[in-house]
Amino acid sequence: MNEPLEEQASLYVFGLLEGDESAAFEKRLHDDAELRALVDDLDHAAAAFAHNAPSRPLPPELRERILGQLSSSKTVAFPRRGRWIPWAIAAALALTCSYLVAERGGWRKRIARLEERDLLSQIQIASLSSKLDNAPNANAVVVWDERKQRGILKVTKLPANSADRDYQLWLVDSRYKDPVDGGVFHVANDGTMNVPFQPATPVREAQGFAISLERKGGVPKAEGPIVLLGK
Amino acid sequence: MSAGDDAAFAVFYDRFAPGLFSMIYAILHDPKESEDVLQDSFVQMWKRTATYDASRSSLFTWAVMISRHKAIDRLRSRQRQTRLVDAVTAETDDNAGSAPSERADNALARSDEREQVRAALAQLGDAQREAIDLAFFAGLTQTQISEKLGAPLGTVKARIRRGLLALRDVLGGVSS
Repeated sequence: MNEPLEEQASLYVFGLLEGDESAAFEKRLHDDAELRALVDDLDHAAAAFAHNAPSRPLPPELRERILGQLSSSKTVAFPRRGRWIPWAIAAALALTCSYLVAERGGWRKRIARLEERDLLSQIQIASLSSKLDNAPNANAVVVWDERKQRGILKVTKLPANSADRDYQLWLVDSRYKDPVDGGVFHVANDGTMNVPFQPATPVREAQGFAISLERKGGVPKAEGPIVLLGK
Repeated sequence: MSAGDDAAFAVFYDRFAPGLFSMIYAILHDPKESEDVLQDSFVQMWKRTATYDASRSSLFTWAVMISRHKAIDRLRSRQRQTRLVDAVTAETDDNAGSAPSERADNALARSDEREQVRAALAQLGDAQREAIDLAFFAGLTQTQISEKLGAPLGTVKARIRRGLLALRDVLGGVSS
């Protein structure tokens, strides 16, 4: 293997390649098994550098906090008594969307009335509007059940994403510096999509929602352009 | 662990969390943020257990890379938002040893690994070690590392390459 490629691989494992250089390297990495093997070896060597960090006592209480969160973050079946919840969310979504279609101008008042009803008392509904010049009518509705930490996203008139890109949903919670990852999704050629989601981290108070266009598989923190935004 | 078994993941936590926390703290120099990043890292590892490929990397390497990425991401976010506080604080307990909750056998194993790695690092030249140290812990760009070291960019890249390749050759099976 030549030195320039070794050099790129060395910089890559530390995340020091940027922009086009990084993208070109990743493309080559995808196609070159020998290069992948080198990067794996260098990852191993670089990771060993972690041992060079001065020892820092790990707070004992952190164990319960972290393992407890992992335990509670598992996807579980709906309990028998709560089976109506997903159906209620779906019903609320259908109802909300019908209002959107029927009367875009007055839908907020109607949703406000819906939210007063018991069915929706614990469910938050948000409308996301387009930030795209080429698709100004694109929109989305998020129905979010904070107690269950899950929701449903319905998108319409959003341009289909290319094969190397994904749309990614973000939930804004002031407890976190960065928006919380709500998952990635594809949009069909007809511009529609309807998908349940569950955020990567517990969201206590969703103050807004956004959808960005990211590289395939999604990113830990939004990098790409925001295409839909609302609360 | 790939099946997402709770008990196995608890063992995984006990084995690696102390070292990962030390590494994250060395990057962020903030206890609260380090705890948050460690938590985020384990959540991500938990979700990604099915994608871990033992033929490509050791669990240690996998865990370090995920955690370091999270920590660097947090560090750069902090820098971007110009809320970087004085990053280096005088810590009297940096060398206070392992936490009381850490299992003795884990601590011993980590200690052995650490000694082997430090012996390997000692074989690197100072310039190479310094460049890699900044690349690993400081979250700087190539240009920033070059400026910090007062060395041309090409020289910095070469130091990182040579140092990392040397470390790979010396380490062999350590840190698996």
